[in-house]
This record gives sequence, structure tokens and C-alpha cells, in this order.
Amino acid sequence: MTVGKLSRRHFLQGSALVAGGAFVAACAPVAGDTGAAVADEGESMSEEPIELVAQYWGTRPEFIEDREILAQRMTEKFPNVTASQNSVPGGQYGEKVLTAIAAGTPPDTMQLNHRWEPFFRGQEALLNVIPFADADDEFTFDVFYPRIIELGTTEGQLVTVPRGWNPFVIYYNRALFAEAGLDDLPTSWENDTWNWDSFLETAQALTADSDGDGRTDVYGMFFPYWYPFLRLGGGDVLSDDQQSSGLGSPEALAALQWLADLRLTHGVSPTPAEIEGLGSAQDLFTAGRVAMFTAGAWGIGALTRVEGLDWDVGPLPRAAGQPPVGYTQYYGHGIPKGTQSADWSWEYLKIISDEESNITVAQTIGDVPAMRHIAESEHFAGLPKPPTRQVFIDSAPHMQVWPTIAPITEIMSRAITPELNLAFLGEKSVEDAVAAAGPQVDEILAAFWGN
Amino acid sequence: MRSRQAQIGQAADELAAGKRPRMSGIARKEAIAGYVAISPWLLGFLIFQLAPILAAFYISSTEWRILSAPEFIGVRNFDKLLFKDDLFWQSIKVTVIYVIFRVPVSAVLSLALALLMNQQLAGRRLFRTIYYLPAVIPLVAVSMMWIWIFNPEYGVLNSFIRLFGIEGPQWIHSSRWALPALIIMSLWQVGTGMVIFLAGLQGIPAHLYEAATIDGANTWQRFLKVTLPMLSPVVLFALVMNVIGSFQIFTQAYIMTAGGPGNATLFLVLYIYRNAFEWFHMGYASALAWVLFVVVLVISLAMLRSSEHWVHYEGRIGGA
Repeated sequence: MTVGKLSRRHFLQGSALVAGGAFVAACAPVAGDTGAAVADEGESMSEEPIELVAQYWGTRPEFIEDREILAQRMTEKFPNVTASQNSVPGGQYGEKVLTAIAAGTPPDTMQLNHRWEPFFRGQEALLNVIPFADADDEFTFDVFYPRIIELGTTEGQLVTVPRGWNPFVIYYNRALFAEAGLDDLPTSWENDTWNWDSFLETAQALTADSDGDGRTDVYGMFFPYWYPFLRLGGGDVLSDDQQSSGLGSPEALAALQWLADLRLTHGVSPTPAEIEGLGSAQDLFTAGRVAMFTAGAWGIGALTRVEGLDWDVGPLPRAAGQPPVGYTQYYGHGIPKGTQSADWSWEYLKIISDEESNITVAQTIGDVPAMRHIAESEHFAGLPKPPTRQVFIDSAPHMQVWPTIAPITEIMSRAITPELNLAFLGEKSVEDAVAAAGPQVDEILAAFWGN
Repeated sequence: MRSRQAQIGQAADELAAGKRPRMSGIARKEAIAGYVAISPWLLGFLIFQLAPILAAFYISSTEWRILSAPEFIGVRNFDKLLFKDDLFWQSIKVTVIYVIFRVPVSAVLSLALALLMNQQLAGRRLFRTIYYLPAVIPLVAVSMMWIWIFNPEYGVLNSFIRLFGIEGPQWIHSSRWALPALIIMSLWQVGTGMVIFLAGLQGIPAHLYEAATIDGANTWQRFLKVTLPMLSPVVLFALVMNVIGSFQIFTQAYIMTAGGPGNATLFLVLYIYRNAFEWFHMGYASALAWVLFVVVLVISLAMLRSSEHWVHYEGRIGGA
């Protein structure tokens, strides 16, 4: 046997080649960037067996069950289709889906919401669903809340077929209200007597040191989210032309100061340390430690299951001189570019967004269905708890949503939230926090717009 | 076959002539066998470590949002992080403060514990296990527990401080106290260092202590003149590993403080993570990762270089 000369140098050179190959592979242009902008007109719906995957976040049992039913319904309608779900924990959604798309194996449909729709749309990773809808006699956008379709449409493109929405409301503990001698909250969003002044008075009346030990036992309110109040106050994080920070406007500053004062001056809202010690907003509410809190319709499901808790919902209070704002977060599903068959994806998407699926949203998941007639039917509005469910539905004409600009997550988590947290802790004035956040917001926007 | 002596003689001649010695058949086979034996590690290193490191270096010169092809932008990422990004400098500041306080304090505590656990104490095996236990508990679970310990209202730490009539700080809910809190928490894991020092202590020959005792050295002198010099290679190892580990702090900040309040605990690795997996700036994140790599490399090399002056290897003439 002849053995060629193998020096350490040659061996290492060979090994370096292996590393180089892996390096080149790692740097190779990614797939998934190429998907057709619209469905291939010539593509036919063959009877060939096909496997479809719907991508979701969240792994709660009721979610998984709902998705299994949707997959089964797809297979029942199209026997040649094997449909399945791919559910990942919420925190991993972006990287998992991005990686799948980049690897050239995108899911056939994917869940989208206020956070992920702007991001994936900004990456030009989603198909416009309007051409599919136009070509499909079975489907119409008219059954959905028109405002959701309007807010989701950018430059004539719509990437999400909505499934549900989460209007923010005030959840309140009726027993604590009665103890404090307060009436139930009004139910109309237009009612201008339910405003920031009366809201603060209500919160103050509810805040109590029951055992007299000098520490507050019941807080009037808790706001896990500051953004709805910013909008209620007439402010926003971005300027109208989306070129710069909007936090410096008088309306925004006043709204943020009012929020900070709730905790720091009036003491009607718990500190982060107290919240951490006592649990989530819902836990605090259920335990009777907080009399009011803000959340989307997702609060219904959990609170309904708590026996003996007497609760209801009211509209968000109006700020002086401002119109009502029904801040909401909608969600739905879209089609990533580069899927194996956009037409089959569309069929799956239709089932995920259809009437039966909307009923599940109302009854099992507890959110407000995106289809107006289902939301206003016995499936949602007609359910017994809370008594004034109509408040959710009545927010529709005043619907406002999270900013839709692509880098909004970075703007919020990098530039704004760290600074505002200091303001809400009382370590910085609202003015200083906004002044510090502003240039960072502007910088992200400048990079985004290519200035 | 030529004699071993002849082979050595030829190799010496070739070396003298500036040539590489030629391998014999057996030596070559041995070399192949050696490389085959290490190939699982070598291939793993090349494919899963070296290649990604090189790829990250290339990516650091691009703007890459994953779905579109990387766009080459030269040194702009490095220019941005060095001259335009306040958060980068904030993350460097926070990380360096953590390293500066954590490394020496944990080294001293580890050594003290190791010395204690090296004594003939009743139940020392049990104590060794107890002190080492935190090192084997997953950091996520540890972090969740420390969130509760640090809770200003209900946590055990402030409850203890309250016994003395003092209201404790807000710990992880304060931009001033969050970083000290994470430093304090890190000291809970001195058990790892303790085990390393303990192994070093047990390797010191007893006759050195006997000789020192005969020469009249007291306990402190024996510690200074025997224990520390003999332990210095272990100290060097522990310090280098500790510095590298400290620069890579991530989990605690990710879980307990999310980098806050107000970026007070925005460690460099957390900042890299956010750029990569929250904001999807892969090019910039790779540039940050390379900065971390270079910083750690330079500091590690400096420590190794400085060790010539303070690390003593047994058996070496002159002790240096």
C-alpha cells in the first residue's frame, strides 16, 4: 500500500478547505428572497398529494386544539392535502420563521399581528392577498370589520387576512366599586363624562390601605401598557410623516406625564416591584389588589374562569378635547413568499379565517372575531360574561392600532421603552426621557428611510 | 529497517540543512492514525466553530436582514459602533464594570472557601457539595429565584435589611442598583472556582509545608510563600476562565432585568442578541460579536503574558 506523504501542514490545509467550504456555504446568498409577488396565474390546483404547514406562535392547549381542527377541516375539504400546524413559543417566532424562509422552506401560511406584520412586510416576505381574494368567488373582505382592512392596507397591499382583534378596555372589579360607593362604568365610548379626570377620581376612590399599616393594599388601577394612553391623549411615538419622533409633541408629553403621575404623584398604580411580587395584572385583579386594569379582549377568557369574581368592562376614558380612541391589536394570517403553492396556501388561509374559525375565536379563544356578523351574534356579543360585552364591539368605529412602520419594534424596545421606564420609575423627568429617546428614534428612522 | 539512531541522525542532519525531516512509513501511519483519532473534534471545530467565526467576520462587513442578500458595506458597522452608537459604549461600560468587580471578588471568595474546605472539618464533603450546588443549577432557575430574593417589597434580602431599621434599595428595579445586584448574585456561584482551587491546593506537596514549618514559618507565611506560589498556575487558569465567562454574561440580564432599567444592565452579549434576534441587524450584531472576541482575546493574552511575572511552575529553575 502506498501512503502519500501527509504532513501536518497538508492536513491542516485540507482541514482549512473544509472550513472554507462551510464558510462559503454560510455566506451563500439566501433562498426565500425570490418568491413571486403575486400568485402564479398559471398555477393549477392539482389533485397531487400535498403537505401544507400553517405557522403559529403560542403553545397553549386550546390554541393547539384549535389549529388541529383547522388542519383537519382542510384535509376534509381537500382529501389530497395533508395539513398540519407548526407552533413555536411566542418569543422565538421571528427567528424561527425568518430562518425557515431564508432556508427556502417557508411555512404555507403564517400568523401575523401588530408586531410581526410590519416586520415581515418590511422584509418584503409576504404576498399581497388582495389578488387572491379578487379571483375567488367564495371569499369577500366585506364580512370583516372594514376598519381592520383599512388599517392593514398599505400602498394598496394587504398581507393579513384578519381572524380576531383585541380592543383594549378597562376591566373593573364591580365588588370593589360597590364597596367604594361607585357606580358601574359607563358603556359608551362617546361619553365624555368618562374622561381622564373622572378616571383618576375613580382610581383614587378605589385606592385603599385597608389594614392601616401605611402600605396600599388595593390600587385603583394598573396600566401594563402605556401606548393606548398616549393615543388617547392625542399623541403618538412618531410624527405624522413618520420621519421623526412624535413624543415631543405637547399632547404626547402631557399624556406621558399624566401616566407617570398616576403612580408617582397620586399613588393609584402599583410600582414594578409590587407588580413583580404580586404577579401579572390579571393576578392582581383576580386577587382584588387592583380595581381596574387595561388589557385587550384576551382578559375575558381567564377572568371568566375565576369563580366568584364580579367584574365587567368599560371603555377607555377620553382625554380632554380628544376624540374616543379604541386602541386595538388585530391578528390574522398571511402567505409567505416562496411557498410551494400560493394557491394552496390561500385555500388553507381561507379555512383559518372562515366563519367557523371566527366562532372558535369568539367562544374558545375569547377574542373578538374579525368577522363583524360573528362578533355581533350570539357567538360573541350574546355570551353572558362580562355583561357589557358590547363595549368591545362598540370600539370598532374608533379603532386605532400600533404603528405599522417596519422598524417599530426596534424603535420601541431600543429607543423609547428604556427611557420611559426610567420616567415611570421616577428616576428621570418625562421631558428628559423623551429628549433622550427622540434622537435615537430619529436615527432608526433615518436609517430606515435611507437618509 | 534502519535503526532508530540512524533515523534520528538523518533527521538531525536534515534539520541542520534547513530541511523538514522526512517521515518514515511508521511515523506517517502514526500521524494518520493520530489525525483520524482527533478528526471528530477537528471537523467539529472547523465546521461548527471556525467556519461560523469566519462567516461572522464577513457578515460584520455587511448589512444583512436575513431575507435579503447581505449587502457589503465595508467597515461601516465598526465605524457606527465605535463612533456613533451610545448604546454600544453603554454596553461596554456595564460589562467592564461587571468584570472588574466580579472577577477579583469571586476569586478571593473562591480561594477563601477552598482553603476552608481543605481543612479537616467535620462534614466538609457535605459543605463542598452545598457550595458547589449553585454551579450545577440551571441559570434560568437561579435567575427566577434571585428575582424574588431582590424584590424590594417582599424579597428576603430587603426583609433582612429591614430588621436593622434600614429600607433596602430597589435592586433590579433601580438603574443605580441593578448592576450591583447582578454582581452580588454572581458571587453565589463561587463554588465553581472553589472546586478548581481545591484541586490545586490538594496538589501542593505536603513536604513543602513541612520544610517551611521546620524553617519556622507561621501559617500566614506558609500561605504567602508556599500556598500562593504553588497555586499560581491554578489562579491564572481560574482568572482567565472567569474573565472570559464574565464578559459573556447574558442569561441573568435577559431574564431578570431585560437590560434595564434604562439600559443599566445592557451587557454586551445582550446587546448583540437584541441586534441579531430582536431587530435582525445580523451584520451589526456580527461586528459587535467580533469586538467582544477581540476584547476577550486581548485581555486573555495580556493576562497570559503578565503571568510570566507572577505564576510559578513547580520544577522550573528560578521559579518563574
